[in-house]
Amino acid sequence: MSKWDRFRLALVSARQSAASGRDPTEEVSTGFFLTGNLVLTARHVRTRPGVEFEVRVEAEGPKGAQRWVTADLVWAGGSDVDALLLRTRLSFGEWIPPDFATVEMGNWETAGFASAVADPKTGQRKTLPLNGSLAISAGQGEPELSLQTNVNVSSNWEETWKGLSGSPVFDTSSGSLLGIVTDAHRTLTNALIGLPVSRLLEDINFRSIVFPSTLLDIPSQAWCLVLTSEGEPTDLTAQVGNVIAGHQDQDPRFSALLTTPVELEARLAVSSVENWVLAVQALATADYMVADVTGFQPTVMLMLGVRSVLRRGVTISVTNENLQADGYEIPFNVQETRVLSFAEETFYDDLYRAMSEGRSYVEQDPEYLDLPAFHGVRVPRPETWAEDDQRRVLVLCPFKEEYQTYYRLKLRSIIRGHTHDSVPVRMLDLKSPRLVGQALYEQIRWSSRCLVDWTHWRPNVFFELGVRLACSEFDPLCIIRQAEETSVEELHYEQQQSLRQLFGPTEYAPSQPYSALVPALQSWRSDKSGDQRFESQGQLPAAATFAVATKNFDWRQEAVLGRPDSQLRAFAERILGKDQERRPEKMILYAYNEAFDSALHAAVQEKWIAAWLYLQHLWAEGADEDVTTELLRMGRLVQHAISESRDPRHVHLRQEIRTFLRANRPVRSRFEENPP
Amino acid sequence: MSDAIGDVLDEVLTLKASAKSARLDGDWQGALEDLDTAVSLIQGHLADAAPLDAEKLRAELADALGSVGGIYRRWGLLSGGSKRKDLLSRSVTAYDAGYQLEANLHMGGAVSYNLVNRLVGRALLDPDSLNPEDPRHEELLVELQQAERVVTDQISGPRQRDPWAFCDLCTLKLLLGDDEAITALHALKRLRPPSFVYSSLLSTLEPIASAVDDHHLLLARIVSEVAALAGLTD
Repeated sequence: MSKWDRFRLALVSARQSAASGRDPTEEVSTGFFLTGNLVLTARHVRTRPGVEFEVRVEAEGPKGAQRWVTADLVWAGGSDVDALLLRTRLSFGEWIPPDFATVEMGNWETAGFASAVADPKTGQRKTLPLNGSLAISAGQGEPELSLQTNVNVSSNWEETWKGLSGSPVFDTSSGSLLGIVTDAHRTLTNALIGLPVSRLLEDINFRSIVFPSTLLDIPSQAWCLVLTSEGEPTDLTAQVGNVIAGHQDQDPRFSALLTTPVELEARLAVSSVENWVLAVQALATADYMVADVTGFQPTVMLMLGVRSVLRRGVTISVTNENLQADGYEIPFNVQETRVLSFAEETFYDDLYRAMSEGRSYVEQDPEYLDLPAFHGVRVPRPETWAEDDQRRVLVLCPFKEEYQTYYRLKLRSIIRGHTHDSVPVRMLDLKSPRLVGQALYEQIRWSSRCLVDWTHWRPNVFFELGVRLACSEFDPLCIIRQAEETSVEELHYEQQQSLRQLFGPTEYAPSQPYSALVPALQSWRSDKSGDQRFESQGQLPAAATFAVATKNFDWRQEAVLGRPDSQLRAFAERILGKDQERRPEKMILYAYNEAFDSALHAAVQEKWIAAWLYLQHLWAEGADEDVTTELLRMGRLVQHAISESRDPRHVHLRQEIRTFLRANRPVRSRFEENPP
Repeated sequence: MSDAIGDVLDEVLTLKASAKSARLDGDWQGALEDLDTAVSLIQGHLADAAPLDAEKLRAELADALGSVGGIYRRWGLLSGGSKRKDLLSRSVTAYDAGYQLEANLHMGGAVSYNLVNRLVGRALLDPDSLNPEDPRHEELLVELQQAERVVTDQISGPRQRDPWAFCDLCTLKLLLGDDEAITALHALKRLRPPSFVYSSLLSTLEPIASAVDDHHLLLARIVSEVAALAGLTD
């Protein structure tokens, strides 16, 4: 880690338009280069929307030419985190981030572009070196750095400090970054207020920008993620690559796909906070994912759970085990998914078919799923939620008989006794009339308090944990029972230790669970908004997975965002097909019921009409070429859909469409010049 | 499917819809213009298309050419003299061109639209060839028998619920003088297709009925039944 380096200081200018010369509303602050192109400064410099940033770099020292460079906002703190990150469009060196540290008290130093050292005539600023003592200011609200300076400040102190915001606060003894200056004390002229770095590190998106993982590069084109399990190396990634390469010239779905799949080892995905962030990004963005579920390892299941919330597909589970073997069991949550064996010679064809058909379904069927949970976590909150939620705790746990006995006799009463008599609810206890799986995912999404017991490292539990992490801003309280004796059933993977470090489950002794569980349960507290939060002991900041999921979720694939005319057309085509004359088979169940069939046809006609009217509305707003083309196409289809109707309304519309088509006919074919 | 090909196929779909609307209005030239545009559009993209896309384009092209054949035939049947012969001849040419493509489609795209209609077109152009005494009858008979085998195979495969397959089988059996045509019609009825399927079948069978011996009782019976199913008679 690097230490305090005044040449990494930056003068930050925020103005309405960087290209428009002097802006009277320009705001100036001090920034610090955390890396060669990442500048940390105070957020309040950006007080108006549409602000553009320029950064003047000190890197070449006092004798070097001043260098201004445009910078882009890449991160801004939340409501009470007065910090932002800018990325300069040029890099200024191989600087590595300083050590981030938290101290209760000590001595500090900094330098910043305070107006006190600005030339009154030219406005040009030099840096003002500052130092002093500091302490953490606690009490109400979030902690702050209370910074005493050793300078005497004039009576006009408010103006004196201007421009100092964003200055880095370094610990003089360790050289670690402690925070940034954000404000001047309201009553003490020589005191400043700072934002501790702990507040920055709580934000997972800040961390992932400053400390990016190098685990993999997320491609910009369509790509396939291969999630490999821990253990004996396999050639799964190569096999997937073979399938992609073998079909790229044949299948257009594959021609746009990156030829080489990107491998992610489950073991490494949980080996650090940064890797986990990147893994979640990969789960959110991969167009295809092939997951090795051999042995249903906890990290693989956890990641499948996250993926099942983030993307509707295409996700394919594979194993090197014999699927026909006696006793081969698939965990409850993924029981309905198709698992392919990559130990079988048909794998090449099986995988191609799964990938190709999966993509086709994703594009055409908004209901398509290859993993559960996607729809379940998106159902509206139950009407009884407000009443039920405050009285219960959702418990995700194993269902082994031994565990269930222990749960009934011990755990249940502990949970109840130390959560203000909240009722623990397991999947078996859910009373919703929904299908069990759907009800479970609905609860995983909406329960404010969720407890996950990792005991026995059950695949189901880790899948559900992944779902919870990805769909709720409230982290679950994770617990795990200490193994009293070595069990042959216990798993032994490197990833287990990583998972413990990342998520920090509370370990409890089977015979004495109280000592660990009671404080853990009591640490569930209300945050400022009254929501229930749990103070995790893991390395991962609170709600980190949810934050990364929120930021990286590919919202463009949400069906609800489709344009009304496209949706109406899709509805119509799902009922009667794209080209009913060519394929007149009845595809809707019970369409042989004549009354129903007749109603279906009428419904289809009305959908076509609604689609036409919506496009007409767009066209009336401003007839651009694309809308005209779409309207011409729609007109032909609608005209045909109602071509045999004698309903006066339809007859009138048909005439209207015909007039439109004639008036906007785009091309004349060669036929017109040479009729038969 | 690539986006560009998807766009082409969508445009072709709308042009075919437009052609059908024009046909229903009796606007033969308008219908042919739309189909001509569709054919040109597909041909313009065939050379550069990936194999799977090319297969889809060829299937669409075969269908569009069949539609061209259908327009010429309907137009020809409403015309007289040399114009009738010219239009029916163009119809057969279009169906033949469509058949060349259709015959080479994979089983997933199994159709018999052009296969059957090119034979129907020949019969309409030269009704004497349906007469067993006629020297050209044998050649037509062989082709009809081959076509029947193809359609029968398709029905036992992917087209078991395709109403058009049973329309085609019914038509072929009638042309072959096979009483099993009525069985094919019953199979079609079991699928309860939309009325336009019966209308289309009727538009194929009626001209044949007009062209052949008045004593072809089965044909007359089936025409009458199909007309009723199409909602054209009681």
